[in-house]
Amino acid sequence: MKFAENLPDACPPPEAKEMAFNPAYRIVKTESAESTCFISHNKLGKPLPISVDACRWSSCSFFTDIDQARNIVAKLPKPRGVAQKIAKMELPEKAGLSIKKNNHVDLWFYEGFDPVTAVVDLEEVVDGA
Amino acid sequence: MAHKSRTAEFDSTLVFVDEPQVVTLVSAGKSKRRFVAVAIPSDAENKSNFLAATVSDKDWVKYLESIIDLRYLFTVPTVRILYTFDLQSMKDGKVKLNGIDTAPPEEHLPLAKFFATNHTEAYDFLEDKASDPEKLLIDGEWELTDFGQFQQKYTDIYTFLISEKNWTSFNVSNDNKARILSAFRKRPYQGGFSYVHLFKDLGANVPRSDQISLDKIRYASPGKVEIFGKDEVFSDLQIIIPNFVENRDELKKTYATFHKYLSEHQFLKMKGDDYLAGDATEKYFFYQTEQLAKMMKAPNFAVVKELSNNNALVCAKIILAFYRRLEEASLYFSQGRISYEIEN
Repeated sequence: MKFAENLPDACPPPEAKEMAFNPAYRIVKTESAESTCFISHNKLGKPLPISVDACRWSSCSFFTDIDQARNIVAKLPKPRGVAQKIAKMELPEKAGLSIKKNNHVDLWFYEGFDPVTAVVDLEEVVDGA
Repeated sequence: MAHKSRTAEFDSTLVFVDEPQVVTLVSAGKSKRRFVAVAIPSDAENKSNFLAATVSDKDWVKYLESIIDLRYLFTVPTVRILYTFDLQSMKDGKVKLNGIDTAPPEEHLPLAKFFATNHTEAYDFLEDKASDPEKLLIDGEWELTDFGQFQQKYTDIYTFLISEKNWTSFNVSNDNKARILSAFRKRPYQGGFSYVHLFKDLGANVPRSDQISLDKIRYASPGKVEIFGKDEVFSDLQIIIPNFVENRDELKKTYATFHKYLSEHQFLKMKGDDYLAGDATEKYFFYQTEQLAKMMKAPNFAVVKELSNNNALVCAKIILAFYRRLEEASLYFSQGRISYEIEN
């Protein structure tokens, strides 16, 4: 399978698997979830910090726990300053390859999968916890 | 005055959401000072700016255990230095931190109640928590405050006993022993706060690998409290508490007689340092104190005497304070509301 973005060599790593997430949550920076909300920092042209793995820099972050997503987006300074909504999504196995750790998912989308179609709800960012 | 810049080594990412959001670093020098840093908005797209704060070892462990939140580290400790840095400028695993002399804007600080449980990345402690299990059965009616009060008194006794063991252990560092000694020696023993702070300081100094911790409470009638700690102390407590319950009348009489003597002769109001070695009461104090400790089967009289700098009045006051905590914890056992689980 081809991926939606150009990835470094040996990326995604072997432990990445096809997994369905229903639901998964993505912090988005626009009022309505747009395709630009599902682009990695690498594709956005942001320079890779030396402490970050190049493959991970080419992934998109999702959460499987809404409270963790809410806490991060509402309480940490950088996401708090730019995030607009939390997109609730139903991601099928064929969305791409994923690595899940501590309710956080690194996902590399397959080419041809449109993540916007997987959005089922958009939640306002509030510090409710 | 702005603090100087300094160099720090990148240690680990703690929260990653498309990019690092919370990271930790240690100073590049011998001191290995700990820093925690949060990503903050940057003017330029090619920068990854962070706000960093120095963190004491104690606060770092408390943060990782979710006892304190991230905002606390940036806003509360009296001794804290704040820096900014650009993660993009890191070279060879090191980054230059720039000291700041003004309070950071509110939008650069994490909000309250962001705990380590929200980390996306695993972070290994160097030292594991004590993992010997102890199960206590609970019965009858419990108010929420009862749990807190029982846990506090039980923890105080556990802490005193583990500190006493560590003081005499060959395997405990001199630094740790110095902290135990300091907890005993640095207070006046003139009022109730001295004892509260003694137990509090001993608790704060117990190494993570020896600390008592609550695992879970299952409240029902009967229910169960599961805690972790060191088996050797739990074994001692399984003797000390039933002994107190069985002999409480005799213990209370011995305590009350001695306490009354100290009170009537104004010794309770006397500062520990004002009691002089060789005083006419010294032998009586040591005798009464040792008898009470023997009857309670704890604490170790010789150890408390040494930690009290052979001050008979201080030694007596500390063992009387231990008695009061043991009495309160044992009361729950006497009332039938808590008991040790007997393994079949």
